[in-house]
Amino acid sequence: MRRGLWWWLACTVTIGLVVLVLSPVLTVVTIALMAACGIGPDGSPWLTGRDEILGLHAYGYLLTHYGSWLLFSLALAVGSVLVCLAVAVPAAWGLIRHPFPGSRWVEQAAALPLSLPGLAVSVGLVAAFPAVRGPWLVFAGHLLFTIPFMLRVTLDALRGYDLIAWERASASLGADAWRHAVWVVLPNLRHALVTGSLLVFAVSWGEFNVSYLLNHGRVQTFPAALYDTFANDGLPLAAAATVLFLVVVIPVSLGVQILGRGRTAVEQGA
Amino acid sequence: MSTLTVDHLGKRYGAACALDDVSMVFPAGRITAVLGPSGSGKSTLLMAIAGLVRPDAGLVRLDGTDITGLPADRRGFGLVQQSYALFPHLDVLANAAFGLRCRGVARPERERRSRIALDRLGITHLAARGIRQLSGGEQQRVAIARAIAYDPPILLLDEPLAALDAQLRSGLRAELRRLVTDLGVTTVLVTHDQSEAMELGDQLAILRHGRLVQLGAPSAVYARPADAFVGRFLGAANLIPGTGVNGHAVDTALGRLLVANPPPIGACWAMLRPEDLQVATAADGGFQAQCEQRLHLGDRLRLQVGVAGLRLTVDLPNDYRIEPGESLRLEPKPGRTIAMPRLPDEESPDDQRTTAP
Repeated sequence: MRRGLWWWLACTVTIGLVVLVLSPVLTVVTIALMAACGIGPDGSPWLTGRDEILGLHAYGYLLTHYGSWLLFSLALAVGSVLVCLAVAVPAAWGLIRHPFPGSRWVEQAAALPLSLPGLAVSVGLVAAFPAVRGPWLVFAGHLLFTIPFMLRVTLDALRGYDLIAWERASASLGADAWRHAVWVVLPNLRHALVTGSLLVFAVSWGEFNVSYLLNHGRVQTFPAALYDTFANDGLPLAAAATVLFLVVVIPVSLGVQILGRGRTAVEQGA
Repeated sequence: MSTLTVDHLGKRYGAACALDDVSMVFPAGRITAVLGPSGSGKSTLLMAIAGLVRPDAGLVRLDGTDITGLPADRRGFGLVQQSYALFPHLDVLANAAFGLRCRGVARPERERRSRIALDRLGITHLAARGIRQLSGGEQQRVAIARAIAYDPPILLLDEPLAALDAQLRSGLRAELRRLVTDLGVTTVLVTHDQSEAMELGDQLAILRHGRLVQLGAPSAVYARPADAFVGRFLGAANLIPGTGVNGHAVDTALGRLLVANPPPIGACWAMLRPEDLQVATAADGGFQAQCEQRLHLGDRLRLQVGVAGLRLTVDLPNDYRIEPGESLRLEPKPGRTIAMPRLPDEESPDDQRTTAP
């Protein structure tokens, strides 16, 4: 097949976009690797007057000092995924299957926290729930930012199906509401749920503002560790922390992408 | 084989009346075609039978047992919808086996029975295919296989052929007819296609504004429609306004027409199908008509003729020679003119329109 001008143009633009998006990440990772080998950003040996932690020792240092922050972030991200699945999926089904006057407004309102600065959401949370403090309030903040993603992805998937016809088919075939949900609706939402979980995990894992403001002075999330290292420990340690950050999120993305191919998979046999 | 009965069934959606006192019997092992225009309540009737719509009034009985309050998933009826509603995450075999799976049938047995159902529809070779890989006709067959795999007492078909193209539709009609006859399952077919209803139905039920207008064998309903609406709905009909006289004739602009049924007193219609008119046998018999339009339909000739201010549709043998502008003498075939009541809103001469050929 002969490739025309437009093909080459599209190719160039696409590759350019990918490079643009990945360049900050690749730069930090490169610096981290160079620092690990004791090489400075300009290629010369890393020489500083400060007492910096270099090489693989950086990771040991990070895990020792920020291990609990890492675990807290993981717990928040996994917890957000679980709560979003439990809350946003039934909510999306309800909004589609039993719409009411104003249900579209509810959809829009659920996405509102995304358009507010983290500071405003934090102040709002503290004012609304004065009795709740610390990790649980951080968790509530994470849910405010993650539920809209799961809700949107599930709504879009559900809108692609004729739910009423499926319900009628299931009922006539002898399936009660529970079997219909588990045997028909959820398997067809697999791709959306996997994609939504990925989004929720990634958003929660990378969330900084709310976590930092609401839990100041206590165990922080891992993005706060990034901030800490960038602010106080110098580039090699910060770059190593960034690598740790990516080490968690990249396998999650890849794993979820592989699972998400279930869209085309069809269960075989009676 | 099971007999289904509905007694005084009623259903309202706000101000709209979907079903109004519908009572009828669906004979065991037969196909009842429920025919009506959009909004006539035919789909609501089917959904009430399926247990998917709860009627406001009346009863649904299966072999005499009241099942009105029984939820759909415990009725065990087979349902084929217009959209098929197949499950895209399951292959063809798993779709066909779904009803058996719900009944807790063990995997080997449900595979055996599902394959029998697929075999009945001639689609065993598609068993391992995904639903998205199937054509419309194949999906329709899978939907029917899924609905019959667990031997339901009643099969409900909601416009099952409507989504298919005309050629495929006519082929599948014959197949559906043969399948239902072989299974001996009591079947309710809802359709807005009168030719489909006539071809598939052992019994024809005509619904209008939620009311059962007429129930009977297709040939009887076609020949003796209860009113002008049914007459027009089932095919081309010439409706000639007149007045009933003597209990066996209607005075019209064409003269006094003898009718096969006692005419209502006062204003009424005399109905003649296009094939119920013929060229007058006697030179001075019948009435003089002017040919306005001639259409050759292959197997017959369809004329539009003007007579006494009326416009009639006439079917004649295809070898009859006439050109527009020429005149001919026509007469009704003996015993084919039907009298029916004429309502005040049917007074306009424009209402003598004919429907599909």
